[in-house]
Amino acid sequence: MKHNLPYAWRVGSWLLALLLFLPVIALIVEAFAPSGDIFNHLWRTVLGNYIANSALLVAGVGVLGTVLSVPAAWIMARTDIPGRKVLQWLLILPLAMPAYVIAYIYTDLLEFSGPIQGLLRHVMGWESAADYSFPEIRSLPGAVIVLSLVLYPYQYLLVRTAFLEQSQTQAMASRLLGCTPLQSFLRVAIPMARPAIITGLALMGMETLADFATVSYFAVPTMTTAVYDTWLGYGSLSAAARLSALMLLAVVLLISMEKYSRRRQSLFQRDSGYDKALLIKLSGSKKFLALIWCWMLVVFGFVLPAFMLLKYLLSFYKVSSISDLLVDGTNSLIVAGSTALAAAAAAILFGFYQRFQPGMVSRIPGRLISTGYALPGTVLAIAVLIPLSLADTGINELLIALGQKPVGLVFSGSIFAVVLAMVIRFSAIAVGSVEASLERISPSLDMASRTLGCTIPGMVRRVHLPLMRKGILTGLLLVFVEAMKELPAVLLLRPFNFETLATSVFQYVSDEKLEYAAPAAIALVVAGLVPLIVMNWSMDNSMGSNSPEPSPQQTKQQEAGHFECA
Amino acid sequence: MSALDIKGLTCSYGLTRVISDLNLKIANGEIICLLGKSGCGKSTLLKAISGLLQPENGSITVHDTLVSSSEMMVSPENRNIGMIFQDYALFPHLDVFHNVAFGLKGQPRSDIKKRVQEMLELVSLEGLEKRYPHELSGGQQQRVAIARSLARKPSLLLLDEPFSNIDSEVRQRLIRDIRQILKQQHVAALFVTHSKEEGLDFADSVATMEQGRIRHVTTAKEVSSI
Amino acid sequence: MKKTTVLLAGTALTMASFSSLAAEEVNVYSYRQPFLVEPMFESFTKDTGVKVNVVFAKKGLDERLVREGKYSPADVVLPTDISQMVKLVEKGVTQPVQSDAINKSIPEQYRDPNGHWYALTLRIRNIYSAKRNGKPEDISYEDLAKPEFKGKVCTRSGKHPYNLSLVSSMIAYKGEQQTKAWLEGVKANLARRPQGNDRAQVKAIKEGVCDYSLGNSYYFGQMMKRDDQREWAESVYINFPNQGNRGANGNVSGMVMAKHAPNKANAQTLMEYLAGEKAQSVYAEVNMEYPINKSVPVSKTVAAWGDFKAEDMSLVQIAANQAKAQKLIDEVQFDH
Repeated sequence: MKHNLPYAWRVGSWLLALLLFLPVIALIVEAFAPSGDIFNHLWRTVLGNYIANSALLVAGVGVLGTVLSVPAAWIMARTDIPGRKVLQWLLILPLAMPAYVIAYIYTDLLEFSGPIQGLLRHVMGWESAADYSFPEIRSLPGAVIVLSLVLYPYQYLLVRTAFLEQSQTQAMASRLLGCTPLQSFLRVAIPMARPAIITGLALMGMETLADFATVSYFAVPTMTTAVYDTWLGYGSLSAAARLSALMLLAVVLLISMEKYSRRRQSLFQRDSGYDKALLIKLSGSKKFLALIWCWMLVVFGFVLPAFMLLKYLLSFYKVSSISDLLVDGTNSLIVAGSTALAAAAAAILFGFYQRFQPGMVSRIPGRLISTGYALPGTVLAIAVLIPLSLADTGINELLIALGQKPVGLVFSGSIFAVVLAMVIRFSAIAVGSVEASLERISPSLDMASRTLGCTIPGMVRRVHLPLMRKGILTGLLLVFVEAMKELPAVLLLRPFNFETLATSVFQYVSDEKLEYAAPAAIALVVAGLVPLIVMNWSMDNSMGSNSPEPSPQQTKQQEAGHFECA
Repeated sequence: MSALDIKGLTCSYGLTRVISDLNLKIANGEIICLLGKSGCGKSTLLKAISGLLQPENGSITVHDTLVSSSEMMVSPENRNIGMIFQDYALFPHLDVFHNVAFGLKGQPRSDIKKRVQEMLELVSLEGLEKRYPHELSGGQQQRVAIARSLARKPSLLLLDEPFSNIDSEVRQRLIRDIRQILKQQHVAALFVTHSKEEGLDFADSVATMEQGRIRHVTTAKEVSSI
Repeated sequence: MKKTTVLLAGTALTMASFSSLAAEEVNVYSYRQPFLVEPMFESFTKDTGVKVNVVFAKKGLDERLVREGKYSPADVVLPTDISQMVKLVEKGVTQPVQSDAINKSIPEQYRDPNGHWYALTLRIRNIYSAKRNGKPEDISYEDLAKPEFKGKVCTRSGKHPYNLSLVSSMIAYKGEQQTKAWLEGVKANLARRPQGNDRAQVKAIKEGVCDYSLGNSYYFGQMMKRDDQREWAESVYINFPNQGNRGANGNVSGMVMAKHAPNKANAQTLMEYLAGEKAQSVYAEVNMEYPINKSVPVSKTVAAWGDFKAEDMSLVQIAANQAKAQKLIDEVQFDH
């Protein structure tokens, strides 16, 4: 249904999208500048290797992350596993662990001088590295494992929601048609959750592509490494921009894959009550296996690393660092909070534009800004600097021409630049969750409220926003958690004397002082935990109604019935 | 011998008792309608019979095989009970052919093909094998669901408000057709609805359910004369 | 929309607070780590009353300067390597500094004739060797490529500035062909894929993964100072390579003044301070580097490693080979 959206809304959407897309445009323009023979040289020598590494990494994380998360999601959504209430949110905690922190910790544990190999040597009587072989954690498989451990929660969250939203009657029907619970999982639940699984794959893929800290610590050169090399080693921004453009292409592919799968999702989803009494009863070895599976994820993705951090904290704690921690923490909160709010606001703006003016044109703003997701942080930082410094120069020249004092770099030299970079990087997450929640609101509600005399803004305020609350909150919190962890863009764009928790962790770690990074790392994890818990709590409240015989039609009618416009 | 024999069945959701001390018998080939307002425990009863829900007390016997008592419970896939859901519960990712063939896994492919063809002929859906559920009308989806259930030759068919989402013009015909199919295949059925008219058209006898108990069992003729 | 407005207002406020900084100050972009330079800045502020504002980053500050253009707030940049300094000059974001005080402190070979860049400290690219094999009589970078070193060599990434400087000097002395052969030889001798930093290589020697590694001199001193790392340092000898011929390869950290420095006078004061005895002795004692100011003695720990001969190739000449070095390292796929 087409509505006459206020003119300002449309213009605002486009202006904001263009502002957020400007840096990417700058990068693309840069990509067409001549770059000498560097690109050819790279192509002849290392680029093939880097591309292969990136592809293997993305594929590896996709497979492992999915294999880990989908069974866990199903166990949580469909069985009566003991401790289900607690486990279902413990399983998302690894999201609060920055991948680079977990990478350092596992290297510390698993390398030659670490406790595990030390114990093995002690028990087996080996003396040096030549006496035995132990898998090298600093390798491509190591990177796949570490990244999967912290990225699987994306897949888990999406797929669990899909399982919860799947009509239970299909599962029942499959049982009555002769399926055991396992067969029912493989033949019905998984194929029906396919759109969510693909969305999860796309998210994990983009996060993996953009990772720099973990792969560089593990010495696995990827496309991101190539971008840095060309830009900082060969000093060619245009070759670097060209490589980034290649990566952007990969991202656009991932995003369209995600959109394509979501397009069919509406067919797959039916609102229906969630009946706890119908949970599959686990017993004996099955219960044991399910418990092992879920706890394994929680332990390796969160508990063990958190325990190590606490151990470092207790042995290297200094009271004097508390005030620094407070300052850095406040900075982190300001930056991540503004990023989350701005990203959510942008997502809402674009979401409604698309809903009320359906068509190719209105879809563009949301797509445009989603492309920033996989830009390596440092490249994004430079991309942001290009238009911002032009704007700054313009403002200063104008002021001078008007006989005023120049104000300096108000955009590129302030946290505005940091926030803008992060909004570009993470708004894809907010756009995704806001769009998903908008899609779930039946178009008949729009018609109902318009016929009851609502204006568009009135309808948005009284109908859509309340119904979208959870989607908005989820997007807001996920962006917040990601922004807290973001490192390279902040490092390069930050104003003078500005540290966040992430940069402080990085500084210690790059000096091989992991132990001293513990307080900031813990603060970072805790700051990520709180929103995750809030998010899970709100999701939990929306699912799992206990009423014995809910009727979807009734609930929908109620929603419409309660609503009246003056 | 009876198709279904329920004795002293009690079911609860948490603290709410939904079915209390319910007794019900269905003879071979008989179609019984369970009439009641929403929330009276009809759907819960179906879930208990099909094995999707563990009863608190009482026993359920299907064709002389005990499937549920306070000590034991046969899992749903081993009861050979078919069920038609209010929303049909067709698998959205499978086409008509594979929906109907879903329960036939493990048989030789040629047998499956033959059986699916038979079933589609039975419900008059020949030629629609390649369609997906969302490409079918409500009545067609309903027929697919019936074919899917009957393909496994169930000893008992449960129907949960199967006609509530179907236009009234089509409904009459569909009720007649399905009744005819069930009678022809000699399948006993328990049919749950809140509509007295549907029950009278479809069933041999009508049982009224209130607050988790069966109040009256009467033949269809007797009900219509009340 | 309201949210965005509030946000913009908030950002504007923050921006205002950043642009209205106190009068007496100097702004630094630093590639060097905060642990090292922060104590120096603190004592500088105490001595002069000039506040130092810093942005620390490992990469990309040159590009930030270029983009910021003439309204850039940066006054001084502290690079970790000659190639970074040369790159800054080439990109035109530096300005010449003429100061008798600095010239008195820094010998001619360690500064740009036009005053665009100044070296502050010197570090030697040493070869560490396992103590368990005894002290080698004489060792050279060329040795690391010999067949008898097979499986015995560890190093960090070939593309790290320190290794790039070494390869650049190798190109200057031996030409591209021989350098490429040398790189291939070293690669064939590696005990593991290049990874970690210089310290991690010493640790690997202790663990028996390899017997020789490339590493900057000051890491040895720093490891000696850390309880958890002393063991590593004690398991190796620090050797000065190529003493029989051209001498050991050295690399420098340094400073430049930004082209559009808004606090030019303070910037010069800071640069003079960093070249002066007080700061130079911090470099020597805290970071175990060789001070560029000859009137400042090296730390006792460093002095104990003995005298050595360093290459006399000019820094600029070495830096000029940087791009070639990077290409060679890619061509032999050194890091794979």
